[in-house]
Amino acid sequence: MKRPIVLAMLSTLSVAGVAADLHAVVRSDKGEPVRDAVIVAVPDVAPPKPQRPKLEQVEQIGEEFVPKVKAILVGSPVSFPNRDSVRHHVYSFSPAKRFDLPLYVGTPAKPVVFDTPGVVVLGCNIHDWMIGYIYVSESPYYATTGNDGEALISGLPAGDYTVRIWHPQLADVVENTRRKLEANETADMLWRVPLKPEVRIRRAPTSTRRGPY
Amino acid sequence: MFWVPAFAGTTAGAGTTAGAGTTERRLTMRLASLQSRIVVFFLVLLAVVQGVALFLLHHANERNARANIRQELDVGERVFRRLSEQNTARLTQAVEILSLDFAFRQAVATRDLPTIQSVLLNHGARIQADKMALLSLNRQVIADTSDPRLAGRPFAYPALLEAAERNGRASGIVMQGGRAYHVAVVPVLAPTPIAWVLFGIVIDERLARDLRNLSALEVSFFGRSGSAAWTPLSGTVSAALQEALAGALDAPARTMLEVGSHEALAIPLDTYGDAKVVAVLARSIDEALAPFRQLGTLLIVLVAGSLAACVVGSIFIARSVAKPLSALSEMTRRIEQGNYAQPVEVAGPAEVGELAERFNVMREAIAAREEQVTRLAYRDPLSDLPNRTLYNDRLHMALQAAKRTKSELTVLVMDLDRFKNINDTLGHRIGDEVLRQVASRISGLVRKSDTTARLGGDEFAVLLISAGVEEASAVAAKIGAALEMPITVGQHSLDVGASIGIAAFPLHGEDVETLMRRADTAMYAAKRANAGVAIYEPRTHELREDQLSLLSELRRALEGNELRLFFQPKVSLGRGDITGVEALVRWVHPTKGMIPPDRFIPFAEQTGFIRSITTWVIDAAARHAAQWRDAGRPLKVSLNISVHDLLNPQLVDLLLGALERHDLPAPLLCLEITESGVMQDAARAIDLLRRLHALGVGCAIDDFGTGYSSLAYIKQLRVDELKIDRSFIRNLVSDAKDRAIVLSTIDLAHNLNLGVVAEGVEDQASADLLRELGCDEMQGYLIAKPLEPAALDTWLATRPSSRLLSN
Repeated sequence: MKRPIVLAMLSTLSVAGVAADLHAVVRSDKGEPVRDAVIVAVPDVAPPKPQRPKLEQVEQIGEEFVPKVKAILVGSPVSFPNRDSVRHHVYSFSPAKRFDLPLYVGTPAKPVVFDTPGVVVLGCNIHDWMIGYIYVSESPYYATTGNDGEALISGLPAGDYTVRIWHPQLADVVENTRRKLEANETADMLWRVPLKPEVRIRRAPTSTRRGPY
Repeated sequence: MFWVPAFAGTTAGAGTTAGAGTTERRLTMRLASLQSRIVVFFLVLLAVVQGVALFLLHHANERNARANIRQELDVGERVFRRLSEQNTARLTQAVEILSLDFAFRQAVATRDLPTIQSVLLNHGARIQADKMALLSLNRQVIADTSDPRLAGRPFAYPALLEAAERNGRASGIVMQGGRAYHVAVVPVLAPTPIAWVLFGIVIDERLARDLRNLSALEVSFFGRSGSAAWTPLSGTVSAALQEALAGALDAPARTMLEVGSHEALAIPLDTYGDAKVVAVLARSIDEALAPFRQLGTLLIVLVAGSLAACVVGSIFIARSVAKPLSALSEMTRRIEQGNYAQPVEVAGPAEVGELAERFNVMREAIAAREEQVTRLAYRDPLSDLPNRTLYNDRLHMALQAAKRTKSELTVLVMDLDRFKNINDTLGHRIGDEVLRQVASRISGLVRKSDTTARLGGDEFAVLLISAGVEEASAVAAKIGAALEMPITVGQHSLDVGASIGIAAFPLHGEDVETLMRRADTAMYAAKRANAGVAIYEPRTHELREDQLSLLSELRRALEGNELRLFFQPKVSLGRGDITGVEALVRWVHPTKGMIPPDRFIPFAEQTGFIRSITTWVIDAAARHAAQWRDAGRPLKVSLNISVHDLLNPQLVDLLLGALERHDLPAPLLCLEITESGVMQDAARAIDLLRRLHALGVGCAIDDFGTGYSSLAYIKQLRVDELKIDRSFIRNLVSDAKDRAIVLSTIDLAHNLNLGVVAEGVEDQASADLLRELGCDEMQGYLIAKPLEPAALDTWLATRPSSRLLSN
């Protein structure tokens, strides 16, 4: 098992009462930016005023889940608006949340509430290749890397954190990183993670033949 | 119609009739061999060509079949791989469909085992899968329809899952419980993998049958664990073959095997686990060869058929040649028998037809030539009468007939008396015409059944059938009379005359030669006797037995110097001196002693041997004359010439040769010719004497008074003297008539200016009388008997030359 390389690039003194930022950079083992990586910072001490879950949404556009990886705070309801002209049948058999939204167009009436932390894998029963992930975070401090492989978690109270990273194609379990954040500090964290190839059914709805992934 | 000699025809006919059968058989055999040669040649040629073709074809077939088998096996292998791929695809597709089934995924996600089981069975049944299993991502068996006990155990073929993890799916062969399964495994995606689902189909006869239907190959499968022996799993082949194949298999590699009458290809299959499975495609060599063998059988039938056709065709062609050939040979057989009349008609190939045409032309040419040849052989071209050969043939035939019927026949042989004279004086053209007229006269006097022939020269013969001596004499007399009548040629009226000899069967001889010889003898006798016709007289004409031996002795005598010349002197009656000597031939026989000339000269004349004797006598006489001349005592030597010598055209040359050889002047020789000899052929004698006279050789008429000389002839004879025959001298003294004849002869001679010699004077009285009568010379025992040369010399030396004078 490889030990992930976690480097604290900068360390600044945190000022009490003043929030800190966490700037995460995720690279593949080949040095390429890794997108859709979820970075979660779990404070050792529960935050003084918990954040209220808010309505999240995962759209279906062009027969894909958008965004592909969605991190939400536990307890958040998520709506799955269908922007396509075809129907979708969104489901999940993940232990964190089992549900399915039978064929629908537009936005289903009731959003799905994700009340168990964990990874929920989304699929569409009609379009096998559609894969989406909802990362249900118990911590309100999380972010998802963009195309540049970077994410920024801001407004973190100073204190000790367990920082973890998750990505659908992570080849190995990445050990969590302990991190103490000072006030006003922008902590830079870098992960180099090996990725598995994406296991996904080829998007070829009209093809009857299923080739390799 | 041309005349064919009956004799030749019959003989040849008899010969060919006997030979005809064998000839035909030989011909048939030869044709049969020609026919069989043609047949055998074509048969062997065809058999060899077709045999070689069959042999090559057989090998090519064998090679082709094996190449075909290899090719079929290669194709079979591709088909098999394709089938396997299709199975994989089918399995994969089915298992994929299952893996995406929402309810199934739901059941898997919820670990709802009963549902999972039932969905697996349900979907498996859809594609008639034999094994369905759900495996966890950590390679544990969640459910297995083929063996429920496996649930919860680690999956036995982790390599398969490894391949599936690498490639998203995997397929291959696994062995489980002694059976081989073709399996495919795919992840259950929800939508990320949550488990593996596996379908498997038992590899059994179904696959083998499918393969066989597609490739006509026998297929069987073998498996083994580790390095244990291969065990048959399933297949379309017999158990025995399966066992044999199992025994032949070695490492699981692609190999060609030859097992029994099968060629096989072992194809290792992608097997997971420690068990190995191979598919073996087998092709029966016999089956592969079957179409070729069928072709071979067909070819053999064709070969047999063509051979039979060849035999029939060859026989037909050979017959078409042989049949006309046999017709041609039949024709040659006819020609061989002398039958030229029938042309050959041949239907057959053009070449044979042309040959037949040429045969016909040849047949006509042979017929024409044979006619000519026969004419030349059997006919006298001058008179168109049969020639001697044909005459003899007919005589032979007639003799046989006469012997059978015990009848008589006669042979007349005739010789024209004065023909030579005519020929010599008037030329051959006239002579030929005379012969033609003679021929026609003779033919006109005999019956149609009789044969008249010209034997050669002026010699003719007549064969009288069923005629005795009297009848023949009558016919001969008629012929003689007819030939006495002058023959007119142009302005010449010619007297020929004939001497006819008659010999009769069975009286005078029983064969051709004897009869002809005796008739000849009789004819000469008639001629000598000037009798016209003579019937053969055995006592006088035929040579006696001892005379025959005499001839050979005479020959020996001439070669062995047994002949001697004796000389009898002639004396002048007036002066008493020696006027010459007469040479007389004696034969001093080694055992019989002295043989006088009258004992062998007539015989020599008869046999023609006289010529040799004459030649010897002339030479000997000339030699002695030369010796005496050289001794200073020249003596005129007289010698006797016979009638035959007279007819010898070489006589003058002989004389000239002798004179030259001994360098002797002609007057020292004198020839004495008998009066009868002169009269036999006076013309010739006159001619000869004239020529001798011209040479200067002396001539005398011997035996004068015995030959009925015609004085008219004597007038013409160029001779020097007459010799009065001893018969007149013997009784001269006592017989007045003889005296008168001698006197008149002396007078006649003197008047003709010829000398007179008296022969055979034996006593003095006769000598005296002769002197009185005026005879010139004499010879005889009174003077001296014939003496040998040495004795003569002595006699000459001792004789007083004047003895007679004094008397």
